[in-house]
Amino acid sequence: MKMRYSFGGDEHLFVECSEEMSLEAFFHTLSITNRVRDAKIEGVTEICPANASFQIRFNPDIIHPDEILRRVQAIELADQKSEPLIKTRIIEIPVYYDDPWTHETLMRFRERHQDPESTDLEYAARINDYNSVADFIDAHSGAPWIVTMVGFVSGLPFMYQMVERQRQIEVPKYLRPRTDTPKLTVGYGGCFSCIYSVRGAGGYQMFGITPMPIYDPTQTTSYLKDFMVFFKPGDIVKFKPIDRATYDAEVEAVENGTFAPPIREVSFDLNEFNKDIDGYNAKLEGVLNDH
Amino acid sequence: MVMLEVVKAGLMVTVQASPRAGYLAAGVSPSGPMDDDAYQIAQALVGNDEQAAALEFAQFGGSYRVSEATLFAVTGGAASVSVDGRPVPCWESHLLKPGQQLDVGALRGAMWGYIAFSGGIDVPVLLGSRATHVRNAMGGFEGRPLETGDCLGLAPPLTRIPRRMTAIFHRASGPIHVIAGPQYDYFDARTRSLFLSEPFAVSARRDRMASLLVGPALVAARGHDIVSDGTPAGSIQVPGSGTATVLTAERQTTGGYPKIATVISADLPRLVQMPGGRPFRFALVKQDEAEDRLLAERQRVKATLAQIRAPAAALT
Repeated sequence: MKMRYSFGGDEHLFVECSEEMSLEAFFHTLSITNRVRDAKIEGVTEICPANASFQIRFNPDIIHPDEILRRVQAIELADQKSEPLIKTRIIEIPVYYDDPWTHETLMRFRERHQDPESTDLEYAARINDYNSVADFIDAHSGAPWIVTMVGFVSGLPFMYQMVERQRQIEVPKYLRPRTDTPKLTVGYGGCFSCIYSVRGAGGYQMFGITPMPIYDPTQTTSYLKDFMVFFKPGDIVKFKPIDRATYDAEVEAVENGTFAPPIREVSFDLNEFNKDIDGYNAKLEGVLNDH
Repeated sequence: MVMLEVVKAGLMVTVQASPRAGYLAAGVSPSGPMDDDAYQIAQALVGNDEQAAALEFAQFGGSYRVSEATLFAVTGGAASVSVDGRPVPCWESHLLKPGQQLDVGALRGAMWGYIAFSGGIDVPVLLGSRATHVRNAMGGFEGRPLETGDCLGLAPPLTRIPRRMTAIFHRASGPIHVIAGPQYDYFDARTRSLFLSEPFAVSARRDRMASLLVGPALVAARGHDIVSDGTPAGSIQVPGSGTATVLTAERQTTGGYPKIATVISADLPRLVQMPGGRPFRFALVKQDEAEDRLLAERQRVKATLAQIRAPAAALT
């Protein structure tokens, strides 16, 4: 891949792996940023992967911009020979699709939507040629996703579905952003699914809600005591549709400190994945279910 | 512990401190002061170190009381500041005694003001900083703006001797310098020319996250949707409306709109402090010039901080 280097500001180096989103572009981004982190370059204050690009913040009092450019370019050259293989984890995230809270919110902002006569799910299903909302939910929850960026607000994951390009769901953002989105809404914009970590403005379509907190600045949630943000780039996510009763039970379990998301360690090999996508995903799901 | 009581909250008063560094990959915005220069001067005037926290406010500061004699200083612009109704100057520190009331009125010629107290606001350090990020409900005092009736702790003061500046801290005038943004090539020659020749002004739609500008609509020939990428401070992103939007301290960490340019670090405090409606122009500079200006500005602020001292009479 031909990288494009520019300075995104006088204290930032901005490196774009590709203008188009792809798993290949993301793997390059992740691999190079990991190497830059390992290199522990003096004067570097932030290393931030973002989908198909990354930014590095540096202190120009400590390192000259030309020097940081030279170091990162050398790292990129060394990385070209590396295999697209990562050790990561797969997590099952429960989702209550078509829930009453996102439904209430989407009805409140209907005039900002492309299709005020449909719900976000009905609209997304139709423009992606699914016969029903149920079929669409099957597609959204059927194949796993990979977290390609955490950002916008604290802990918000952007996820890219691990399927062939032609099977990917594409949905535009709202025509005008909403001023409100329930916390933990599972959203969709472009080719990315996301989970809103905090309540607030947003422009992504709303499909459902998860009972599982993914960001907790008070660090009281049992699995967020060590670090307040749950996701990191490279995490693999499998959505599991749940009903109202399960949602309520899991919200209660979170409050009691007994909720534990199913997590398994896995290796992910992009070359093997590309040879047999469905077969590879089935194996990943097997790991999650301890098969 | 010394207590600080918010008798009457000002506008958008938050606890701010040095930005939170190192957590961008988790989506944690650095936050911190909108005008870091004015913030640092306020802290130096009350003898605080870099880790201490102060209050930032938008346009109107509010009223405060303390439980023990404490130094305070107000900076950012010109504000009517008084202790028990007796006016005192900004940009120098004064003693506030128990029972006295500090009133910080409207700020003139600037948007963001700072009130520093000796010892600093004693809130927990979260991910390396005491800065508040409101939307993330993180840091500062309960992760939110202050309200009337709030009581905050102050750390023990390092000094109670008032200090002043021996030279005025001037801001440059002239154009706001920018460097080409990551998506500069999304905009055609005509739009770039409009951007660099027409006047802009900061609109009333501004907060700690971003300032929306009034000016020519900027149409991105290659479209207004990009694969979301990082958004450094000063990024000028342009959504489909064509409105140039400058991202500031409490910005989102990533964005899906093309960024035509980035305001250089040396000029960003000047832009965020610009009164609404005042026309200015952008001027494009190269990366190395932006760097030179940043280092020069840092030296200038350092020199300003170094000459802050107690008047000779107080030392004897």
